[in-house]
Amino acid sequence: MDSAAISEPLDLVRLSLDERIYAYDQHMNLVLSDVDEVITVVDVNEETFEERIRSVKRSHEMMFVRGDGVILVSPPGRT
Amino acid sequence: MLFYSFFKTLVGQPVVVELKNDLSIQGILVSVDQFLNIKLDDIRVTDEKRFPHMMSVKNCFIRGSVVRYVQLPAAAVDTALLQDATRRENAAEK
Amino acid sequence: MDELSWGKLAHYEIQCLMNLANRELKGFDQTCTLILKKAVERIIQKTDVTEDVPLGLYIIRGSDVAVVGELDAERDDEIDWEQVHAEPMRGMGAVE
Repeated sequence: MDSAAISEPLDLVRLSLDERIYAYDQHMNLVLSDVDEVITVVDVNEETFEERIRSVKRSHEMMFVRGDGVILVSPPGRT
Repeated sequence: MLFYSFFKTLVGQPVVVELKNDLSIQGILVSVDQFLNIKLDDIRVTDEKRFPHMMSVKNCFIRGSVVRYVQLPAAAVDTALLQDATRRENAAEK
Repeated sequence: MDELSWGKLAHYEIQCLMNLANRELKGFDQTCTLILKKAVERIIQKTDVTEDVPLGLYIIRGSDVAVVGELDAERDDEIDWEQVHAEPMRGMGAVE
């Protein structure tokens, strides 16, 4: 792939195509594989109002992610 | 059009659609349209204890705009073909 | 709209925090606008018993629709809805 041909932001997503992104479009809809989902949950203790942060992890073999929920895509090579 | 075409190849496959309100619905993909609205058959809500609302619903139409994820059967996805189609579609747009 | 023809659906609708169970869908359009006849709102609550509120003829704006489903009347009758409880559902966030 000609990685020098980067002229617009989505070209950076194109660089991820050989990683675990199989499809993307201008809405940032994505198809990903080997997905690790990390959900950060904040529990508030009802008496002390103390906040406890915990992570819930889920894995998915293959999934479609709707673009309107995408905030950031980190291209490979700097991880 | 890329994702519309992609979902059309998955018709008949079991999928799990997770909505933006955390409701997850599993079912057989029946059809999809250009807005990525989805029709599922033989549905079951994954967490029926938390979301008993749809216990008596057998099939449904899901508005594309409320979808967060769709979990797919990996074996049904031709990844090489999908990458090619993505490259072609994005090259064509320039 | 052939592919998504909802023709024979006898119907059920959930929309954010509210459920609408009804008998007849009279019409719909591209944007998911629904016209429901004999609509009933089913309010499932955390501790109180489930309430079925008859609404009559209703038009629901498409942008507020999440799911439209076909009701299995038999299965629905078998469920003792009064004894069904659930936390309120979250909203969909900013859906366009």
